[in-house]
Amino acid sequence: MGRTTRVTNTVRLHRFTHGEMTQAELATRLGVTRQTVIAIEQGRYSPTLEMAFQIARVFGVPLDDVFQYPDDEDR
Amino acid sequence: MTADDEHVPPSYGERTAWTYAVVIPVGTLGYLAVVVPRALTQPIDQVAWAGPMLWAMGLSIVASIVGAIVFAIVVRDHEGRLDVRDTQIERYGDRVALWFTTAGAIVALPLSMLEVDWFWIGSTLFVLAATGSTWGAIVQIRAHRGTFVG
Repeated sequence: MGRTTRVTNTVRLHRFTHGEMTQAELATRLGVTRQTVIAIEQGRYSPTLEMAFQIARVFGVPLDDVFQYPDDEDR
Repeated sequence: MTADDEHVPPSYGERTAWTYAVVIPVGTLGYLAVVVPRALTQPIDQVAWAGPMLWAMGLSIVASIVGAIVFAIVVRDHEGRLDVRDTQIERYGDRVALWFTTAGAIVALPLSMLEVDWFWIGSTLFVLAATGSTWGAIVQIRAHRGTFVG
């Protein structure tokens, strides 16, 4: 994979711990395309703040359980 | 974990960008293929350029619509809306295109002041706007297929 965004996420992990939710199901619940869900999971797109909250709400967890912004020394 | 992100077709936004990236340069080259030979063999003020330009624009619009329909059939994805990421990428491409359109206006102004033939003014605006739209489509494709940070 090429360059990724600085924001990391565990969307894929959460999908599988939530009844193996498919990308298509998550996309439908968020009102976005499946391509956008894929881009988020692969770290190729940082979602808007609103979409990030929507994703966390779908999984019923706090925002920073799904999205992380590592410190410089963590990279 | 399943690999359910494999074999996903391009989104509507990406398909549109691909269509523009092909149709607009073809239309522009078609225009140039018609008017450049005329410009080389006739006095510039007698070159009929407005008709070919309008035809190029019209055919590009029709080809974009047909191309979008054919593309959707080929990839078997009839989704026809832009989501938030598509919209952000589209705006990013539009910003890139605007640079070229602005450059066209900046070039056209002195051409007008110098009272050069309308052929040069019209063609400059047309070619630079088309170049911008093509480049805008290319950067959109790169954003769709690579990393886009907004």
